[in-house]
Amino acid sequence: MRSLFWLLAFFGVIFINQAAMGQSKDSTNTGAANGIVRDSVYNFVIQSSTVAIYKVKDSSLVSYRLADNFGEFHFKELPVNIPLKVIVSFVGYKTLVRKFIIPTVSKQINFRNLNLDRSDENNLKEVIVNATPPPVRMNGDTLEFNADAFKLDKNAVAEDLLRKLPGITVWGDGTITFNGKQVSQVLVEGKPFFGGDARIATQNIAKDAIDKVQVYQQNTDRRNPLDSVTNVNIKLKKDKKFGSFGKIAAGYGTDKRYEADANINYFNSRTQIGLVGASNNVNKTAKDANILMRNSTFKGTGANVEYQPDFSTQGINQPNSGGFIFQHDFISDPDFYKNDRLTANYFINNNTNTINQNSQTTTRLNGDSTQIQQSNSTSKSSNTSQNFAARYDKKKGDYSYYFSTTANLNAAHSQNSSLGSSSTSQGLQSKNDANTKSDNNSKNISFETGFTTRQFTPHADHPLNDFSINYSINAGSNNNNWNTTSKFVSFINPAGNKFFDRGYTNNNDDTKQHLFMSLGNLAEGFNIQKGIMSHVDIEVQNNLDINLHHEDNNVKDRDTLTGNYRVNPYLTNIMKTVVVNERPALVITKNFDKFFANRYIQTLNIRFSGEGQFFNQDNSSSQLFQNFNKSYRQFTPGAMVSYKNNQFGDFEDTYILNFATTVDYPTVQQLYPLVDSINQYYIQRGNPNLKPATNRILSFNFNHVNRHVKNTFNYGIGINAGLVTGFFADSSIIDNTGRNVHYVVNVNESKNLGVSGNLNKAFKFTTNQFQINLNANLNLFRTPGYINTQFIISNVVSNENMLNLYYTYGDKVAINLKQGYSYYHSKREGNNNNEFSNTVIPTAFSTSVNCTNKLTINSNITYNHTTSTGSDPINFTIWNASINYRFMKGNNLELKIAALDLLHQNTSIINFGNNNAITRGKTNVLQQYGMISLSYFPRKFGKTKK
Amino acid sequence: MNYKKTFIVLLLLFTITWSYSQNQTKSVIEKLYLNPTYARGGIDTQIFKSISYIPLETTEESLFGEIYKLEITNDYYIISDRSTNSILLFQKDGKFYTKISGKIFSNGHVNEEFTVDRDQKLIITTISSIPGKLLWITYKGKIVREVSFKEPYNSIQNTNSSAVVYSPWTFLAKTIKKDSVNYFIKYLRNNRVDRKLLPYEVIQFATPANLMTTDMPRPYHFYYSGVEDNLLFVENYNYNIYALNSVGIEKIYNVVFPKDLSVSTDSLAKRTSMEEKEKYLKENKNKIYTFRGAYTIGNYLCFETIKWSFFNTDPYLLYNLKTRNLISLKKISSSISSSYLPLFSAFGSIIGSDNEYLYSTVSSLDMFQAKESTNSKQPKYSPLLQVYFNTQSRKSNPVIVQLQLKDN
Repeated sequence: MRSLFWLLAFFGVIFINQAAMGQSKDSTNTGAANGIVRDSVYNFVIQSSTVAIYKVKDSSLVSYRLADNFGEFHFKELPVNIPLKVIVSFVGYKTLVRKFIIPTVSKQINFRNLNLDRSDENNLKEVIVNATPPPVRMNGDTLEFNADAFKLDKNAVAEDLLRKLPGITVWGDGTITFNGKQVSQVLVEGKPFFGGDARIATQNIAKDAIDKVQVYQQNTDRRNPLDSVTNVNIKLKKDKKFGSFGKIAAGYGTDKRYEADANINYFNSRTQIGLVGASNNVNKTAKDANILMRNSTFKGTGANVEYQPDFSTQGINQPNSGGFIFQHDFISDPDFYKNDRLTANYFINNNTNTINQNSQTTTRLNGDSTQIQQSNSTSKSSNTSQNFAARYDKKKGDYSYYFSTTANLNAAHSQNSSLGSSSTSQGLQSKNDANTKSDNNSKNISFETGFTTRQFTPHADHPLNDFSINYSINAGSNNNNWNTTSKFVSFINPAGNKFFDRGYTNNNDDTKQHLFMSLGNLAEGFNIQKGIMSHVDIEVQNNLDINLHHEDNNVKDRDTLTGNYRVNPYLTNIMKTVVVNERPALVITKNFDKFFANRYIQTLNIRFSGEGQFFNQDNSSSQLFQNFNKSYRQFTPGAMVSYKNNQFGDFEDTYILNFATTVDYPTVQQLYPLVDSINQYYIQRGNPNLKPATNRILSFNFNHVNRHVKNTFNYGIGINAGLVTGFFADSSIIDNTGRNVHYVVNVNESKNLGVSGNLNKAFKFTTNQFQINLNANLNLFRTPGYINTQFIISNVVSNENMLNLYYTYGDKVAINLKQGYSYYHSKREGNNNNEFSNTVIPTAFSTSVNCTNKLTINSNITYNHTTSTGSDPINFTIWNASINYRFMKGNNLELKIAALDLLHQNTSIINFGNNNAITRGKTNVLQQYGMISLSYFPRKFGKTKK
Repeated sequence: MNYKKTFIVLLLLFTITWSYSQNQTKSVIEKLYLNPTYARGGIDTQIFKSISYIPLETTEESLFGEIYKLEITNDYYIISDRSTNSILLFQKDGKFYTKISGKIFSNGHVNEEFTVDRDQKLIITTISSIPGKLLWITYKGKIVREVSFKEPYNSIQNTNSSAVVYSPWTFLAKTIKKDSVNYFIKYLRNNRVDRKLLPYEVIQFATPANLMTTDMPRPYHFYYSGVEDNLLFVENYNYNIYALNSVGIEKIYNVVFPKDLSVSTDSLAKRTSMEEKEKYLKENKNKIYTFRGAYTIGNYLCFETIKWSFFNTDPYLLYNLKTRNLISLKKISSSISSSYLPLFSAFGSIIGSDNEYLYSTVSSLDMFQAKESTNSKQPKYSPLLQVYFNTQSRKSNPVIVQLQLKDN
């Protein structure tokens, strides 16, 4: 197996030879050169030595090869009748330089033997006698590309260099592959770079700062050398191991639209720190610092077409955000087996959101009757969230441990006014006018730690060699203040008219603790892997959750006579909930391996797990009916069969059949809630008889990965089926005034079935790349429920398909064509059938053209076609275009003129069906605007040369 | 361990060592100073007189994984294969002769570490379904002799018809009694063990069976170079090569490598458990710590050097004792005379010798990959290879490569 692993690596190198640098064909490039690289003293050919041909005049690289298995090299399409030089190099040898001219008549030259001399009898380190480094070389098991050998634009970044390297492909969707195999991570100096997203490294680091690009296989499991991942490491030049880069940008446009971004990053050999900040009113929201960093790269705004204002978001958002990211390595050479690292990040995000929405919900009642609820609402909310996370990891030898902590603070203020009405065919039933103001403050702190040991050679005296323990504690408090005035007028029964002016103060405190322990490898450790127990692994696990919840609800109603607020004794309470869930489990695994040397390895893994759940919920409240103690005991079995068929050098198929059981336990809100009637159109009542719901899921997944080095073709399919017994179904009672009372009931069965598939095919030509990607999924749901005590079943079919075609021509042109098709259909089974279907067909065409290395034109057009039951089809097109121009010597300054929603057609349609109801409406969205923006990219790698 | 016990153990070891030294024939140990870094290479025709490829016939019955052990007799290539758990016999032209699989012995596991009694034309091995017996089996698969034999072994070789030597299994830590002693070499003669050589403290080499899954090669092999009653034996964690016959052993060579390629054999000896030895080897992964595949043929001593690291630029060495010329097998490149096909597997090792030829093996996956990558050289294949390439595929049986060394 080991031999096969290196054999594959070796053929990877052979492929490099075949894929080595091409040259432009022209009439003078008709010459050929060949020869053999040898160690003449010790009489052998030097395989994988680097042979590079340069023009004598300007030392520009013409072509290069690694010598083949026989030490031979063959060049074609070399320029004739001009002075050239061949430079031959190999680790441990003196570099050989030979000048030559390919004669016009014969058009070929045969060097025969090019003999290298060892550089030093006692020192095997490479001595470079010539200033020109070899473009590529094998250094042990690592393939190294020398950045200086590749002449690129002076403002080129790492990604431009990667595109030039044979075997490496940077795909249209950002994926990087080497000889068809996906690169799992791009490291800089052996470490993740600013959070590990490859783009932050490849689109920022100046090509001139790079010493070498190293490609190597990393074996993640010492017991199975065939399971390896491909990594790319960017090695920086000695004097460029520290630097800073970033982006400062601001833009202003029509309709008072604006956007501003800032990102400054600094790194050195041990430490990385990045600061980000952004503000806009064009629906560009970021969840964390990394998203902002990823979209502030030097290269990213050029040929990249992502990070456009989101035209599909409801309402107008005005986010302001900022944060930092930090990483420090305590050892200088971390790798897969050893690591000592501290990471931290902080992000603050403030968002103001304004949504104006008109909608109409049609609910089929029993018989032919239909209820229509109209709603006009305006909501304004502002939200400030702060997230901090820090983590320390240490890994050495067979053990590893970590500590991590997070802190989250959230403050939100919102204001919402809505006007609703309800009617049937008999006419208007009621109307409701509501205004709500709310303030919410929450704090959350968590701490987690874990320790794992895994010895590959357990000793009989130490059977407990595979041990993991993780503990986490999460403490949080949530403070809610809100006030609602609600006026409900019934046109059927005036006695049912309600008016509320209610103030709420809710304080919740939660402490959640989780302890996980596992002890594995027991059969091996206790030496009982004999007979039927051979290849059996036994593992015991334990999960313990202890959740404490404390709730202090203070509710006051305004006395319409006195105008004073009085305590509402029903809704005011103090409640404490203690939930303990103890889940011991026994996991038994049996492995079957079928290894046929040089042909295949097939592995079958069968796994059974039996988990017992001892769930106890203890609730004490100042409201007597909320005092209860419920205990449940559940057995949740699981099983998995996985089969992997790895046909060496051909393909790898994986089949996984999995069965899992999960249990949902009823919450206090579902069992004994304080029934609040403030929203007469949605009143939630409790059901004390509610029992836990058991969800059984059976899934099957198949995945095919092609192991050919060229034009890979991968595909997969997944099927999952779920059956929920004691399903938490909604039961709603709608009275003749339109009031809607909901509670949760157990219904015997709910079923769901999902099928998904994906397909990925890539074609790579000399400078063109073409990639096809297809994703499809189909989901069927059978959900039971009750309306006015009548049993109904809602059958839903949902289907989504997306076809993506990517085409790139070098780094000049990027084209992405997207075709989507999604379909939703729901049908209610009851005493009358209610059907709803909805189809959305988006077609998008986006293109980016780098006209020169200064000028880029981007355009993307999305055509949306939507149809739904009972309404006319809706079509609209969003067309965005921009032109970017880079100024200054280092392309550091960018002027961008953008026109968005050029056709002024963006509309946000609300159109969805839910069990027995259909909702349609419109909401405000971002629409046509133009913007002019200026970005500055400060960049410095190493010290400035004087 | 208390002092009393230590004393007893030391006394025991001393006694054994003393008696063992009395058993050894007095010999001249030749020190060989070799630097693999400066081993020479060459074109195949400069090193070998002849190169023949013998594809092993692929039929439904003869399909096997890879050659674990090869024994060459006058009429057959006898190979053992772990993938199919069988011993297969192929005629000298590669035609399949017969297969001895576990299936014919109540689905027992045929021990792939087998040996051959060439005079009697018998295969000697153990089968799990017939426990506690060493079996002599005809080439047709019939058991003709069995001897009570309870000790698991990791290496076995027939010396002549009168004695079989074996090296007992050294792991299974749980079964070890404290301070117990075992021997690297035991002679089985007349149905009993009548001689034990090279004693060692068992705990030093004791590890659980699952160490087999790591990369440490199985130690203490005997190698038969095609001369009756004449074996080579290599000891683990040092650089000694012994000659062994039905009478006894003698240390014949002690190889000395440059310092940067040598482990400290003293340091290794001091590490009293396999875990500690493994740790030391990991820390010195680019140093040679043992040998494997040792053969003598003509003027040559051939053996493989083992390092912990996957990367060993010159693993298999051919040393001409007469001319003192050191050749690295990996530095020999194939040429038109070998149809540009590989001369050995990616790791470059010799798996057998019959005193006239050295033998290596190449998988069909490698053969076909090489054929495709050398199409541009328009190689000429022997009729046998032509048939092989026309009728077989990457999934066919491996090919045996027969190499005849030139004298100098």
